[in-house]
Amino acid sequence: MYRYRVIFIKEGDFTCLSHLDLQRTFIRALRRAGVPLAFSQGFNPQPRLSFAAPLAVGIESDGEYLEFDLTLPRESDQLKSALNRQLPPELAIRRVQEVDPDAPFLTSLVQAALYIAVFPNPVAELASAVQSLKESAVLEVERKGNNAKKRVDIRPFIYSLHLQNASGESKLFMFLATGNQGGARPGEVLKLLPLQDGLIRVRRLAIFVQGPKDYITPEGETLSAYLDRMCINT
Amino acid sequence: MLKKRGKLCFFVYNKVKRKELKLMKDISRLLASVRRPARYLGREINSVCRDPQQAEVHLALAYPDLYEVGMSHLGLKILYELVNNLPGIYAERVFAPAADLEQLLREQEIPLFSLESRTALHRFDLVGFTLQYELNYTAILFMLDCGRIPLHSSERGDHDPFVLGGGPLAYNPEPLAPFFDLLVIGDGEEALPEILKIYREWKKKGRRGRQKFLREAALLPGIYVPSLYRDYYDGDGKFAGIEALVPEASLPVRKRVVTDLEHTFYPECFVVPYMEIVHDRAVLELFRGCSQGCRFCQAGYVYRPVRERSAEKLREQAGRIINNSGLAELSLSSLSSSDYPAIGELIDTLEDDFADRHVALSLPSLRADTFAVRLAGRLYKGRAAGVTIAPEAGTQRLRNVINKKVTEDDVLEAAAVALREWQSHVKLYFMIGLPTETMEDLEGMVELVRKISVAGRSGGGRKKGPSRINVSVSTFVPKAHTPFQWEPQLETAEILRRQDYLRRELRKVRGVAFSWHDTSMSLLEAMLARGDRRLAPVVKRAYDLGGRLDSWNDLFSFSRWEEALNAAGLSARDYVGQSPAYTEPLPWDHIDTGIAKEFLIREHQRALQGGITPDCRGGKCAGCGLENCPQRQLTIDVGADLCVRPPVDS
Repeated sequence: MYRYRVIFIKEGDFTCLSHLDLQRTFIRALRRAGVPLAFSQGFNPQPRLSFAAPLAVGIESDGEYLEFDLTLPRESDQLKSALNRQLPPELAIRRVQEVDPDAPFLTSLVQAALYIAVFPNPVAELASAVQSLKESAVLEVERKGNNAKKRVDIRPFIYSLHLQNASGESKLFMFLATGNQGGARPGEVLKLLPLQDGLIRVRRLAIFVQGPKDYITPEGETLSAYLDRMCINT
Repeated sequence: MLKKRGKLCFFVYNKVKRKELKLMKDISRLLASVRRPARYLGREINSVCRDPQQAEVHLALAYPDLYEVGMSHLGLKILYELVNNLPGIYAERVFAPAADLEQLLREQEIPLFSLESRTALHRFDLVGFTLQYELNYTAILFMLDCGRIPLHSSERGDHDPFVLGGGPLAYNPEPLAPFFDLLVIGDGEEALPEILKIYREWKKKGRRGRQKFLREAALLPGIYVPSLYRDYYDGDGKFAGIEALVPEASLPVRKRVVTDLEHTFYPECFVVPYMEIVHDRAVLELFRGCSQGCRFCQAGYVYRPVRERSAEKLREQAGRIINNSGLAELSLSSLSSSDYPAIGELIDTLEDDFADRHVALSLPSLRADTFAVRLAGRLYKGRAAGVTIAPEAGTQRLRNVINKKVTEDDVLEAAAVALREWQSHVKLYFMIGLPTETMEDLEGMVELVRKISVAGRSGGGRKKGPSRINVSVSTFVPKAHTPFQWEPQLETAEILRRQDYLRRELRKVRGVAFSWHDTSMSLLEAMLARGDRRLAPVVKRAYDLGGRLDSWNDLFSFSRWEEALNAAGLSARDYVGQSPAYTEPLPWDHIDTGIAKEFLIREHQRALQGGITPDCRGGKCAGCGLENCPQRQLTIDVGADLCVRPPVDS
């Protein structure tokens, strides 16, 4: 068994694809690319494949992670070009790397994600509203469960918020918990802020797992090193 | 930029005019604020993206329903790929918008657009609709209106598109006659390219004079140009006939038949949707036409004769379709797939071919016998798929009337295998209101379901649990070009009474879930299926009153249709409640399916006597009169000995 990790982007009109749409699209792309997919056992064998962290509809991403197993080894570069021929440029694959097939899928390790929201015409109260979110102890939002709506406190899942103003627009960096242990969605945070004019663009910059000291990206870069490299001064 | 087969393509933005670029950006913005935006996204794998300016003829293939329904339709896949392989012609897809997009389009004054290049519908040369279901008729007007095309052909000018139609409902096109410039009767694979050729010449000559193009196209076999005909009525306002107004208009219009299916184009680069669609799978067409001769089934008559593809051909196509699409399910499709002569061998071969790729095979329409159910069982193995069995009627007597050649033992054994051996769900299809139906037949239906429930339980089946038998009961709709075209539809009150009875009685049977069809929808289906041109203003009015996607239960409203009928001074009952005499002219008499009317009369009479007509595959020609049929025998004894002894109720 050989496991490959694919890092792809999601942008433009294709942010409208749901997580299920994306799954369907990649499975079919892998099938068309003719790679020797490994399948699960049982009556209804499915390709062994896992997305690290589902992304909400409408949000762009610089780094989405997909892992899948093959029965035969393939060159990473060849896989990348074979798959990119089967995908629209808005879902382009940036990197492919071979990873340990016996390690758990990334999805069980993801702890946090960094998002950026761009406000084209920020209202004056935005800064104070962000500040009061940071200072509040409890932030309840409504979530739809299977049957009923329930209220959830997302404050513990908001690790940090940081507002930057530059040339008339505001950028809000949101470092939020995500994954199995619970999390906050960027849309939930934005709903707690005052109404804005124009379309707010939201993009996921990176996802993080727990490292020895700090959060690290799946590639092993620490959160602080990542922020430095991206010139995000918090 | 031309697409390479099986490859992805990008739209060349810099070649597009600024105005169109703005439209494309507007649409991208709209995607952010509608439900299920993937419906309008386009850019799927194998979709054909070209610069429309470079095409000599620009055709929109329209399906009058939502993306997920239209994309499931085989005819659209065939024509899309066929036409896009013709030099100089570019075909794009367009589907009906859901209510949220409709509202945004109207508010922002954006016309309905095609998926590939996001071109406004009114900028196409031709717009072709497929006619699959009567309750889609309002959606056709809806799409034309949203696409800024005048609804009536008489209102369209030289720079409006031509509106074309085709598909099974074109066999009685009259309720739609004023809206369509031209209809294709029968198979479209040859007829559509012929029309496009004539159109190209007409366009080259300066696209002047719509009538000139239409009259030339009318000379092609199988082409019906409604504006070249006139309907007339007798003194009592009864339909009296249709006459041709110009020499180009043939009368009757004989349907087109692609005789050699083996060498007829079949698509191999299926467009692969991003979102889940209704039938999310690849399709092989094993054969066209059906030899069973069920007397209620319009498809069984209008798609004659049976034409098969060879197993070798199907195998080649299957390989290429799966490779090009990456789809994980392949449907072996036809009107009755277990009738395909080498079905067992075909399944074996395909299973071998796809063994390591985990492609699931499925059989969509099967006869209700054990052979068929065992076939399905092989395919479904442990998958939690259900098995559909269609006895249609509850007693042998009534099954003989409709010529459904399956016995109670067949049905019982098939259901028992499905329920017991593979713990599958079973879906049972029945009809109520069939000709000659009495309470005895309904009692028989309940009894049959009870026996199935018992047979499914004995032998270690689960005692309790969710219902595993779904009984779906539709209402008989008498269709044009069938032996039952002279039969009325049951009155609504009586249908409701019979549905009530079944609901009450089936509740007592263990493990059964009952579902039924809306009576007013069935009434309108029958009315439109048998309608004449006077219904066109009714369809228009129903649209004006808000009728959109009437095929969706939650969007359908009967009151709009009632109001529209009242405004026209017509009643649905007048269309569906009659049993016309054999000599009376029918509104679809000018459409010739190749089946002799005498044969339909004979079949109708035989039905009323409970006589069955054998399957005409295998040399037992029933004498339907079809000229180009390989099964045809010239000397037919139409007497009693052809009529095999029908099975009787035990």
